[in-house]
Amino acid sequence: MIEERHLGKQKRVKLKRFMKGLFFCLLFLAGWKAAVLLLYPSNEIVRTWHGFYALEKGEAQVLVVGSSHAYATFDPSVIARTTGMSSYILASNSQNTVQAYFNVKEALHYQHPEAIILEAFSLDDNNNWRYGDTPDRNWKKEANIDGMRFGMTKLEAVMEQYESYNWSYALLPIARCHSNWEDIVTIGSNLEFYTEGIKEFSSFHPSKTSMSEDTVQQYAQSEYNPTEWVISEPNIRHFHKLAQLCRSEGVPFYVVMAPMYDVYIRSINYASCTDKIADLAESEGVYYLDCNRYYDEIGLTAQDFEDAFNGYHHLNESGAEKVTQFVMEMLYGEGKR
Amino acid sequence: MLFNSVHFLVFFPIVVLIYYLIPQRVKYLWLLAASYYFYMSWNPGYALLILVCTVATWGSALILAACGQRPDKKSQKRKRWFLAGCILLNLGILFFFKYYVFAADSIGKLCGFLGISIQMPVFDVLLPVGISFYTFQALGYLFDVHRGEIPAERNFLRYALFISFFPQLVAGPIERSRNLMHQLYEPHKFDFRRVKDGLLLMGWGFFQKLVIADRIAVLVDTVYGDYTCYSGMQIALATLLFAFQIYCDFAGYSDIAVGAARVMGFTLTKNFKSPYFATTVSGFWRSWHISLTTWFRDYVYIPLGGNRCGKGRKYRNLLLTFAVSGLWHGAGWNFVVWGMLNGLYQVAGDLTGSLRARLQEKLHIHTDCGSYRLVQGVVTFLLVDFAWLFFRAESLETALQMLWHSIYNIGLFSFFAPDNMLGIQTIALSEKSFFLMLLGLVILMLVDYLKKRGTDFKAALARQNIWFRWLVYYMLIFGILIFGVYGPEYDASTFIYFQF
Repeated sequence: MIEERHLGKQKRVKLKRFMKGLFFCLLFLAGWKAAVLLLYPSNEIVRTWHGFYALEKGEAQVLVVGSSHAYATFDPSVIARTTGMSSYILASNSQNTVQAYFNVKEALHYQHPEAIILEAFSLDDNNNWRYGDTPDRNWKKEANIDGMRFGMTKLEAVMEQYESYNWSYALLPIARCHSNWEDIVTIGSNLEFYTEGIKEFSSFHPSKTSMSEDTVQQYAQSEYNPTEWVISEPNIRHFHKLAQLCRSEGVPFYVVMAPMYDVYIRSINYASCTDKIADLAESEGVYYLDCNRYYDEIGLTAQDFEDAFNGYHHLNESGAEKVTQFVMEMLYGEGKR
Repeated sequence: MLFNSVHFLVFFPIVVLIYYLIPQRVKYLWLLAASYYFYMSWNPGYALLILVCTVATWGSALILAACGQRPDKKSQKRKRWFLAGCILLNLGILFFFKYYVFAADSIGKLCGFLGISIQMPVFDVLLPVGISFYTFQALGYLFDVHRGEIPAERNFLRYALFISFFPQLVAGPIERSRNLMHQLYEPHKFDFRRVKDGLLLMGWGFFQKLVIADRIAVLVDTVYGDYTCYSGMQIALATLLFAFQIYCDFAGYSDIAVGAARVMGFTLTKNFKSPYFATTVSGFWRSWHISLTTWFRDYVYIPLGGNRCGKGRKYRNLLLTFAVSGLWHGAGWNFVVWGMLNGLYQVAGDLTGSLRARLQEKLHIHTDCGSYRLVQGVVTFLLVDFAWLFFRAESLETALQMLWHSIYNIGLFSFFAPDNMLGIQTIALSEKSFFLMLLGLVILMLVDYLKKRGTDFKAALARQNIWFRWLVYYMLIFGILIFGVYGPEYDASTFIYFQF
């Protein structure tokens, strides 16, 4: 009897210690998270993720992924006006299709969109990634992964995109940002964002400027570059995975190429680019809309061309409005394919 | 595998978890495997060296023990031969890897000076980490067996663990067999308090290393890297801070080692006892790197005759011991000078002892008061710190040039100019980081002072309310995480004593 009581007491002590340990770890994790949030260099990529996680269920009926072309082109207010649907642009600088795939995979844990749009320039063979020639550590790549919540998708994304010796680097942002305790401005800016700014955050980052006369002249003088456009193997592989993921989740998937500056398009071997994307999309039965073929329909006339772009790749705010309207009409309007 | 690496932060919990889950009889085998993995993570080839050292000393110790049981002359002679052979083998390996380049260079320079042309063979070898530590630990064991102080260990694998036990393998404490060997036989059950204490000690070690030592290193490395760009006062500041850097670096490592061993139920030797509160140089050496100092005392100084002989021989023994100790720290004349300086301080202290006592009496100086001890402490610190300059400099030549440069470019007024902030901006550390470092040093000295006064931190903390205890734990953890100097861009995070 005494022995049983003693054993019972021992069990209670162990349970108490276990609970205390658990609580200690939880508090530690909360502190860790708070430290990372406050010390992380404030950038739009991480904030785009925080903005996404702050959405209510069903607030991202249209999800757009891709590179800067995506967040400079798709205006959620225009999408809402033309289709009545809410949208979110989960795009980031130089985001390629590998990252776009993981972004969609992560997003589907939280939202069930009615359409997913991949901006096609993310199929460009940019080499900010493990597969390229540039170093494995690149702030654009790491910021996109840092923004993602910890989970299997994040682990998978890290394993896919980093060499194994950099996995801990990718998974522990505190190791990269802890010395920002000296940077009061970053801490203040982050604090402001998490307390007040998160709900007002817009995933659409339009350019407010127009292309300068000098830039226009510069493109006008550029020579034709016949180099064949390349879609890397990882991008192709992840494009197929993305298409399959959307199919398995029952979400319509579209590929849209945002318009680039006409003179620039004519100076490169654009046919080799768009044809390859078209073939790739066709292989998965995905609708591909190349806006560069619809300048007139969009309204990118010769007279106002310079007003619609801020550079050879990116639209400005007024260009974005026209293009978003056009794309939504093509996908959902009377001109629906 | 560095203690301050992600690799170790994954390795250690796995080792501990499995260690407490497996049966007692195989625990030492698990620790042996973990220790070899730990060592081989630097370079798998190094394992061969430690294995040779282990086999040689283990086998020799068995033979010495067997010979010791037979009092006949032949056995005693054989015993001496085996001892000498084993010492030669181990010191030979140590010499080849650590001192060959230095010896060849010195011989070459000497011959050049004498006008003799000589071509020494060149070997491109990397110094295996911790070789001085485990060689000395193995030799200590051999001497103890030879003296009959401990029996020879028959279980080879258990002995291999004694030599390679990972917490203290690469930078000590250099354990005595009578302290560690028996612990390898004892059962170590999971003890919550012990684990907690061990982790707390590890945390304190990380704090010393990452927050203080590595922050000071930024400043010290900059100044010592190009001393001609800095004034004498700035060099003095860097040298003063180096005293704390090396202390925090090495004491930090030792605390992590002792803490890690404690988590697994082992008690290792305490390596530091508030050394910068010592009031004499000999007192400093009684509280600095204790495991090495006692090793030299027991196996070098006392066998040479110690202090139980004439004054002249005593001083010779002291200087010789410290010169060897200097050489143990590094293959360079600057290390020899550093060791000799520390020996000379003690010789000078002993020689002037009676004169100082007479002066104190005549001048009515009270020696039993705080102010006197404070002056003694400051003088001791300055003497020790001056010697550190030779330790830290690239070579003896550089150390002397630095001294010369400092005297001729003292820069006293510009150093204290109100708008100059001691020239911090020019020596690679931001103002905020500098003041954080000062805060860290204040905490360190406060802890050391309280330890010196006999405060038992573990017991004192255990008496506090849970919210206070947790506050201390979190402050320590987040202090390291946020204020520590580490990360992907940070290099040279290795511990200073690894190179010895």
